[in-house]
Amino acid sequence: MPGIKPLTLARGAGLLAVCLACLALPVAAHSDAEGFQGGFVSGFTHPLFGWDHVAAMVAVGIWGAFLGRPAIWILPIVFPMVMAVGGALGVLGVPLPFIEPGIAASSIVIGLAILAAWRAPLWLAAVIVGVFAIFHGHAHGTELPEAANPIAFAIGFVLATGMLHLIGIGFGLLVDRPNGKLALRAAGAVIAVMGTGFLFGIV
Amino acid sequence: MSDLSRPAILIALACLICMPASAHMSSPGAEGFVRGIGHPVFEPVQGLLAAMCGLLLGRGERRATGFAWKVLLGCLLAALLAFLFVFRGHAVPPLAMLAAAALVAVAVAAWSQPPAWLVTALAALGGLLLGANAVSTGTEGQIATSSGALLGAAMGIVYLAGAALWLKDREAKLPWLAYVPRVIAAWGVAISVMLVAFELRPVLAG
Repeated sequence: MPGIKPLTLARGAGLLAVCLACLALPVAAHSDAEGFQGGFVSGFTHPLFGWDHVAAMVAVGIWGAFLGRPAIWILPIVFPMVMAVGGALGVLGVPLPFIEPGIAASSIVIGLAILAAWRAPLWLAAVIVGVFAIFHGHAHGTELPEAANPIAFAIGFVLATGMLHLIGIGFGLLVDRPNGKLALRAAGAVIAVMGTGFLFGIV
Repeated sequence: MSDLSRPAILIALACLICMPASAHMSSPGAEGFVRGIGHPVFEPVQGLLAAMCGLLLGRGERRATGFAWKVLLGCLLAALLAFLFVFRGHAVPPLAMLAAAALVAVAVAAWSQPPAWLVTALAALGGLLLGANAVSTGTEGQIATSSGALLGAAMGIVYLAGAALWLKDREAKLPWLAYVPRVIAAWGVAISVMLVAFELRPVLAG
């Protein structure tokens, strides 16, 4: 039809995948399904139910998008890799000072960076994000040994963390829209205020 | 590649609606083979290492990885046979699998195109561990189950490598696609490093 682009095969395959997903039946293969599911759900919800984690993860995504390529993807690569170090320390029971203040500070610092439209060099942005990732990782890692299924817990919380980054990146892509930069700076302000609230136990 | 990738997508999608086969199992032990194919899914440590190896082979420089594929296949088979017939009763500790998964994932996440020597070395390491870990501990139908588990691991590697190659072919138009396998690998690093710590915890606690 004139004026309408034909669907490409890739788009058709995407639609087919969505349709097939609707037909999917529950998997009953695992013998320890409850343990795995329980561990996965508790891991997946761990970052989602902690607003301090949510604000910081989304802020990392927004800041990355704000800084543009390659930071938009490098920061979400750096964060989980360094977070694992903090997580390992948490699992091993190695104490780390100022965990909660560090998590709150991550929202404040990155939120302010977005608010100020600070275009930090890539290495510095990676270092800042990496340092804060250790605090977040430690908080997750401390809970891992108590999980119903540690591997499922780890998969769950890493996926949830990545998802929050993607949400931040998605929001951060507004930067190219009219008034998008203003909206992002406002979001940075909100995140920084939330971080201050976490720090003083108000939120 | 684009001519092949389209039917490949459709075949992969068609696999999603597969129903359990209810035909005859005329060969004794064949059930074990089928069960073994699911081994990387039932044992996430095996699945994690296979997935990271797949991403590694998909990200490496294409001509150089031809040799790495051969090394991987050789190591898979050699380790399977060695643990079936020589080192009977021995098993690969999960710590080794997780540490290897972490190494492979770091290589994928850190390099936009990992060097050929590193791809080959890690393919050998991954192949040896995956092959050894595919060996079933049960004695009944051990060869069939282990062969199925090896096929399952190989399928996992091929699927992930294919997905990484598919993305690579589209990087010219959409450069950000280059980061997708690296982000996934970074998640793999996080999962495997934390589980390494989890495995080390009782050892360090004494």
